[in-house]
Amino acid sequence: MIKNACQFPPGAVKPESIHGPRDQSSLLKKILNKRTLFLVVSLLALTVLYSHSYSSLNWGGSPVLFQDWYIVKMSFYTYISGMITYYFREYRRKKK
Amino acid sequence: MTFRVGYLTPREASIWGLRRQNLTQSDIGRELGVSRQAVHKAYQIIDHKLEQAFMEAAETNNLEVETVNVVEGVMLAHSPAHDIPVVVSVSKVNGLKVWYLYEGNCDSCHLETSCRNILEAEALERGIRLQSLDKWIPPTQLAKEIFGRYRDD
Repeated sequence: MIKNACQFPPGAVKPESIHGPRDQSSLLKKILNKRTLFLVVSLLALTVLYSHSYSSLNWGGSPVLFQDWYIVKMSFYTYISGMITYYFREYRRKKK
Repeated sequence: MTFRVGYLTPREASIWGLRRQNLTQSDIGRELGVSRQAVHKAYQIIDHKLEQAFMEAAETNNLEVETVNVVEGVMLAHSPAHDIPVVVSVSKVNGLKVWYLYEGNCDSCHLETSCRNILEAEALERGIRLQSLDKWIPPTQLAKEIFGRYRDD
């Protein structure tokens, strides 16, 4: 009965990575790209903007995070948008 | 023409790809604008080249050859050193790969992502439809799903 399969024979020492060494500098370079920076800056800017305008947005004077299923809805929307993005990228990759 | 793709030229690789889709020699000839006789001759060259590549792969990896299926691009073999079955595959997208059939461990492997990409591309080229759940199973199980079908045991 066949179990699973692997490109390496049993007991072989697997290489670190075929995409180059996984040291701190290469990991940092991988993380610090334009897209990540843009996302982080956008997130920070929106957080600052929201915190500054919180008093004018929160008319009721109660914590908005715990009203109207805000957290549940936001989690759901985030999950849905994440899945759409994932399947869209998969579709584009397979189309190539 | 390299060992990686079984010494096939791009033209031969495209003929081989069409043959794997169960097209007849006449259909392939019409598709590529060549005669059926030319396709037949190409078949012979492709078979010879793939067999040669498989034999060299077996020799390099110390494998005992069991069967060779040049149409599917799969060789079934046995590794006496590890006493386990082996599948050697050739595809246009991944080239020649050796798959040892045993309980692989992907948990500590840094190649998990690249291995998964290789297997998904392999399945796509071979017309193997992966289930949505297959995206979450470890690559070692995914490899069995894809190459296990070529073995009866």
